[in-house]
Amino acid sequence: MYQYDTLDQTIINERVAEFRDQTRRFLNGQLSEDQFRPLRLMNGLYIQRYAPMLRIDVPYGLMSSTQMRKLAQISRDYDKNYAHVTTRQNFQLNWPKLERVPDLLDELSSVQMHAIQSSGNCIRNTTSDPFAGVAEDEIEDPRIFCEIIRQWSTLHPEFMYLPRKFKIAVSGSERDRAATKVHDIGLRVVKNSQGETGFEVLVGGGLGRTPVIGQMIRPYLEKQHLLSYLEAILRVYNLYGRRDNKYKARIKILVRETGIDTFRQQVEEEWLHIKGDLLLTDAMVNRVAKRFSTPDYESNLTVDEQALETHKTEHSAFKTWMEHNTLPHKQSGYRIVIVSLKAPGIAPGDINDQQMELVADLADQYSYGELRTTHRQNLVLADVKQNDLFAVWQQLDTQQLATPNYSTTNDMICCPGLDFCSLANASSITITKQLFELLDDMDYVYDLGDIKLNMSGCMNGCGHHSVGHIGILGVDKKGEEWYQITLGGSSENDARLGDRLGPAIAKDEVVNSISTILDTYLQQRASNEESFLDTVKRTGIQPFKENVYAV
Amino acid sequence: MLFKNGEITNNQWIHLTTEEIPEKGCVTLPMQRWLDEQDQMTARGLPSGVRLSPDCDFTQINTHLDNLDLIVIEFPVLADGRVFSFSKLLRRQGYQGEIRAIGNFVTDQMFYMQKVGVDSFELPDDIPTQDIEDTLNRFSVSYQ
Repeated sequence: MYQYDTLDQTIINERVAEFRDQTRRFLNGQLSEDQFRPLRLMNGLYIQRYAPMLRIDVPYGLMSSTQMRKLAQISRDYDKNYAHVTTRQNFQLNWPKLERVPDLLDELSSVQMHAIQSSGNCIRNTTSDPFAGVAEDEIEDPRIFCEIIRQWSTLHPEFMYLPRKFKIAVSGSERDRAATKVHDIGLRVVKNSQGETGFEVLVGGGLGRTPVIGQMIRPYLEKQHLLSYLEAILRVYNLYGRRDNKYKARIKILVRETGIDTFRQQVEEEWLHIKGDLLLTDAMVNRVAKRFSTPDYESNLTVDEQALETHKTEHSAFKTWMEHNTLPHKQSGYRIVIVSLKAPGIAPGDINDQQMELVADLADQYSYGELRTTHRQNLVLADVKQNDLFAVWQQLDTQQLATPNYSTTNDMICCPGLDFCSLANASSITITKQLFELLDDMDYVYDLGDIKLNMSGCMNGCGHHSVGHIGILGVDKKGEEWYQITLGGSSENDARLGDRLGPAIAKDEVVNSISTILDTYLQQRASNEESFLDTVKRTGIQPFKENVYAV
Repeated sequence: MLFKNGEITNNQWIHLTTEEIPEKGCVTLPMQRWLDEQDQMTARGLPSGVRLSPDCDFTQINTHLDNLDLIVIEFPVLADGRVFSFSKLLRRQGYQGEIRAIGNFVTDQMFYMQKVGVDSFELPDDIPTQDIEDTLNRFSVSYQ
């Protein structure tokens, strides 16, 4: 966990004071709605369908038990006792009152949290691998670099009014769990021929209305040049990104219209001017690195296999949960625990105050006081001793947090949709409820294996539908809610956009169609080992299309 | 009003669009007109200024920086942040004269503007001086 120093704390305190002053001037009429909008957005505050929505940053998805407890208390005191985990690993509150937001921000700052640049046309929260630091396939821990990017991008005087929002993701592992190819800038830790680590830099990816897979702009960037290279990209974008049409303002359109080779030339030309002045020295890296506390793992931990086996035999639900919701850890004797926020009857990613307090307690007791959020809208206890798994499961189960569905079809990504969002065309939460009813037989769900189902309530794509193995997109057709299905998308190493299955489907037919798609997969797969995604890649969408539109 | 060097001060400059250039006084012209009429501007022997709109190719003035006493960056809308990069790059080119912001910006942006090299601001007369001082001293530290 990163611990603020005086500089970090001073900046967020002063930012709260600034926002308090802006809110005061808006409420007393000194600032117009048009003037206040960009100012409140760059501090995470939207005016939504029913109430303001406040998005709170969780930098690269890492948080402490103290912060989680604070969110629980804030959700009680300022909201309706729950919060929502977003696809940028942040937390959202759906019902705060505008006049009270400055006080809420004050409370957040007391636990080193803020809402800076969680929205608006500026550099957003940098996201990363939820298994950073504990994954077996990690080349280098990306979080130090995420924090360096957080600091560099926070209140950057030149880049607060970009053409459009700007998202950066960093992955430190072989397997890309940070969706780097669908970000404005994606950074992947790679090794060069001398065995040194640096970054492969991708640019121009993004979801939203025009989903695009990012392109490689530089195969290997030395770490010392990280900030100068980012600054060069941002400057070219700020100067030349389109501002005439908000739907064409993301960097992906600039890269596409300029061409990646010309764009690269522009960036490298600008980079030459600044690479000497903006060096990331070892001292700067160490200043940040030493403020990260690392878990003090017990070495030579003896796993009580016999007790584990007994628990598994006596509690089949524990056995199933351990198989599906825990993952191997780089340190022997430990497992990564996924806390599923995808239970029947709950909007995906929602968590109530009691659940927040429970996971905070579990983090303190069993996982070095740390928690993570994932871009697939779950939580992670990253460092749990195998000997403690049974106790953790028992307690998670009391609060509906042990649904054994990690990486299955009902571990879906979903935006708030028409139920909350003023942009949405269609409801997404009601569809997820129906899908849960369809997928209540867990043996069937496990047989289907790894399927990433992503749903967005409108083409802005907050639910990442275009990179779901199965994507569902809500559209408006003459005032009615319809849904467009895509198949075969992915946001990982093999990132690609899903193919459109056919015409949009009426609301009451969506779940039947998904059911048909899943059954078609079971018929079509070459073996039990062939995943849904591999099957779709092999057969194409035709067999799925024929079955869905057969009637 | 004009805010410069930490205080409200008299504005010596007149911003011309299509009007004839007067014999006396400090004037600014839109970039293209300044480029077209720079000889006439120089011949006056008086301070000379240019105005940059966010959609202009501001690099066209790079070779004329020594002949400019004032560069004005315009904010037609507050959210058009290109001019922040203009100012940053003009300073990097070595321009040491005055850079002034005019248009529809809000005081909150002045803190960021001064950090990229803007040193004067034309504001509506009804803005409380206290607001300006607050915003310019808003942050005691920064990461950049």
